[in-house]
Amino acid sequence: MSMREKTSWIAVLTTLVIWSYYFSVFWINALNGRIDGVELRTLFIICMGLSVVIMLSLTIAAAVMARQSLDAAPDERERQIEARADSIGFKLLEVLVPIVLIGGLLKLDAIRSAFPADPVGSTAILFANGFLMTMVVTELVRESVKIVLFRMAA
Amino acid sequence: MPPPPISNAIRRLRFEHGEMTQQDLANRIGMTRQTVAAIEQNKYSPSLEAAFRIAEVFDVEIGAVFQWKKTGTP
Repeated sequence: MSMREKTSWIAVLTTLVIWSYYFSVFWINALNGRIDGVELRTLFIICMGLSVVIMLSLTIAAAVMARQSLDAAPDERERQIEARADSIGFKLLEVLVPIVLIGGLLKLDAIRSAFPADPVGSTAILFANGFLMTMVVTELVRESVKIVLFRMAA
Repeated sequence: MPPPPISNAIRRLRFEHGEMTQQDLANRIGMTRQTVAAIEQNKYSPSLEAAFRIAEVFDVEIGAVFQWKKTGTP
């Protein structure tokens, strides 16, 4: 397995575990009418920090164990795979961003009435997390596409 | 996706050149071993430049490494 494929596996698994937890906590709280910005910020920082630390350490460990270089330039096949994954990811982002934006705007009154204590702040947090989720989903799909393409030619 | 209508003699040429490993060939043409394996198994069609580099390593014409299989379609 090439270093780039290993990196994709690490990114997919780490993202799935950490951000699934973050978004499950967020959406369970939001659906129960409880959005605490400070608590959410702490959770976000912890998840972001954990993602970076776990991905970096696993990638370094994988490179050391396989005696592979971390900063080797991609060859033409790897560049082709990355370009296809980027293209699919970008198209997905083009679809998801308007869905989150339009969906959020259409549900604005429901969101405001669900959080009477702080309708503006809660709406902003919901939108921010909606966009964060589209980015995470896009990244998951992008890395998964890379894995599939790497496996197809393995 | 069907494999490209191209066959190659990389495996034979490697063995004729002192049982060169895929990693050795990959190092000499600036690619990963996985890409060389994919080319060898006809799962990836290399660029023209990479094809020439492979031929250069074996010191043969490009046609001795890669052969186009006639498909009968334009």
